[in-house]
Amino acid sequence: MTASTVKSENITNIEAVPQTILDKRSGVLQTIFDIDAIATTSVDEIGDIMLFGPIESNCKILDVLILSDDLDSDSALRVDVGLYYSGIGGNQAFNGNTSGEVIDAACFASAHTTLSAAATTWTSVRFEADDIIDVNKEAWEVAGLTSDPGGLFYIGLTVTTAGTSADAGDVVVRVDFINN
Amino acid sequence: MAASTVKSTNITNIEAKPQVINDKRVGNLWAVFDKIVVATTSVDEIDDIILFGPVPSNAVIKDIEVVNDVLDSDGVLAFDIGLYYSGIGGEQFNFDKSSGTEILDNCIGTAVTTLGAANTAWASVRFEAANITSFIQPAWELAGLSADPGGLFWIGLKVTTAATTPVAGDVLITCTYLN
Repeated sequence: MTASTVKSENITNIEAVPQTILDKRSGVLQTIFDIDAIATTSVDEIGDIMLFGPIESNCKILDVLILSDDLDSDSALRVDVGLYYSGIGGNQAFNGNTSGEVIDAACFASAHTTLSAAATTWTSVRFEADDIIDVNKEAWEVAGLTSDPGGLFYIGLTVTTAGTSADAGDVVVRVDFINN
Repeated sequence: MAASTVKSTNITNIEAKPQVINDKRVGNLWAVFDKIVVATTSVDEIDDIILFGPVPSNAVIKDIEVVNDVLDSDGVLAFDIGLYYSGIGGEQFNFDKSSGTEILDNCIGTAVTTLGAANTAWASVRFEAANITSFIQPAWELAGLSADPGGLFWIGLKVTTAATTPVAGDVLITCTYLN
């Protein structure tokens, strides 16, 4: 066997005749970060939801990262990380989708431990439950919708195992994305 | 000894009279991500090459990160990571630099084993071989060229230790840069 050279999807598209556009695979990297002071009552029941954002429904999400204080001294707390409607923009209000309505509660991460201990370096949860190739999907596709409703989405952390010794603390969520 | 205060390059430049521009040290951060489905035949021979891109030849590369499936069940697979001509733009075509022509195959990483196992969070390989001070170099300088040929470069992974039990899988690369 002899050594081979293979070319990626971008290179194949660039070298095609006619050239194929690298749709939202190259552009200015945008970041949004959001913060909330979480009360003990927000992590002590299964189904408690913490919402952060916004991001645009048609952006391509490279990373979802979290910093946090320790929100459970017993380290039992688990959260799903997913996408929620905002009710803002596009067809969301027209379709009856209101702020905080779940689209897919666990499209990024499932029963993640991230809030059960302090995280002082960014912890990525982007591909904990999602396939790595979904980085090429727009947010509405990652959330499992069949078409783009437009407008803004929220990132949601939903408690799947309640904190048994819940602590109040800060949570910071950062999303890196391309949308140009 | 008395405590001292030192100032960085940027601060020194800003406070100089006349002020010196902090060229490509501040600005919008650009990103390109790319994907390939890697076949077992692309990691089973030394010198197999996998190309990703594009990156402008004058981009100052902040980071190169990968997420990937496992490509070698034995975990011995290793790559050099470097820069290659695309043959597109600038003077590359005039200089007979065609797509995939090597510039410097290990200017970013040497015998990197990161892709032997699966990575489900972005793993940085930017400074695996390159000195951290290279963060201010444009890509052409990082690749050891004496002048900017212009156009686009590819990022290449060249096998230095072949997989002994190769596995087909996905590899994604994100390159972030100032330009």
